[in-house]
Amino acid sequence: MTEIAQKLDRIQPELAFAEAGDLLREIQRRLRRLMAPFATDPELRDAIGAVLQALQAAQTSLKAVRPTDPAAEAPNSVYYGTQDAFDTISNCVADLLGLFEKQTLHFGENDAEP
Amino acid sequence: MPSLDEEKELQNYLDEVTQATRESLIAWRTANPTTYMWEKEGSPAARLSLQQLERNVVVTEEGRRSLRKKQYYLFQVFEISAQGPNLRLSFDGDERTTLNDKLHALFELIRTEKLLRDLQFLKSTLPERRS
Repeated sequence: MTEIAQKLDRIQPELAFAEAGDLLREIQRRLRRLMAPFATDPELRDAIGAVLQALQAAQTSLKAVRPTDPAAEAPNSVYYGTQDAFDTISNCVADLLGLFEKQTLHFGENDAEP
Repeated sequence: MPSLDEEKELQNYLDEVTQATRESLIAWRTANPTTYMWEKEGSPAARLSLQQLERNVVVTEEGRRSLRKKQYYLFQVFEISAQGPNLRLSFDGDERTTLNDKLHALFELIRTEKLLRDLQFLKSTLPERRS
């Protein structure tokens, strides 16, 4: 999940529509696989829901910048059009990571030998 | 923060671009569903782009926080030379709120004029009725 957050942080203004689509599909697939086992966990349910909502919003943002002529994309338009959506995913992933870390610590305390 | 003179200059410029658009002197093309572009030929060669954007803002109402979409516009001017496009000016209505209304009006004007042209084309595809 940290790797996903780092990928999102590295997005550049020259991002092309095809690259943005590939990136979104990749992080969507990886996040869904990572989150699926915890989907009904009461501690994580809301944070997972927020990530799914952010992924959905990113798809909508991407559709709004689909080039009419793929050979003549408007410079930087994909970056500006999706920046907020990718930032939101990044923030939601950070929140979820924090909850995972809290649970890991919690398990550690319970399992610790006196 | 931009000075008042700079703000006024930009407002006047946008008024002129809007008027030229109204007079069909600028041939905007749809780059994508939220971006219009104009390739200005001749000297100086330039590319103007106007993009509609949205960002999430946190709103607090009666102690409850929620996310709302805020719509704004990004206007960019590129100088076109042999070396390629060079960004000369970029401003958005999120930072320059006084310009956002003008950018919104320009965007809507381009959108409406394009829609009218597309509808005219659509009507022209209808078969002629024999009387």
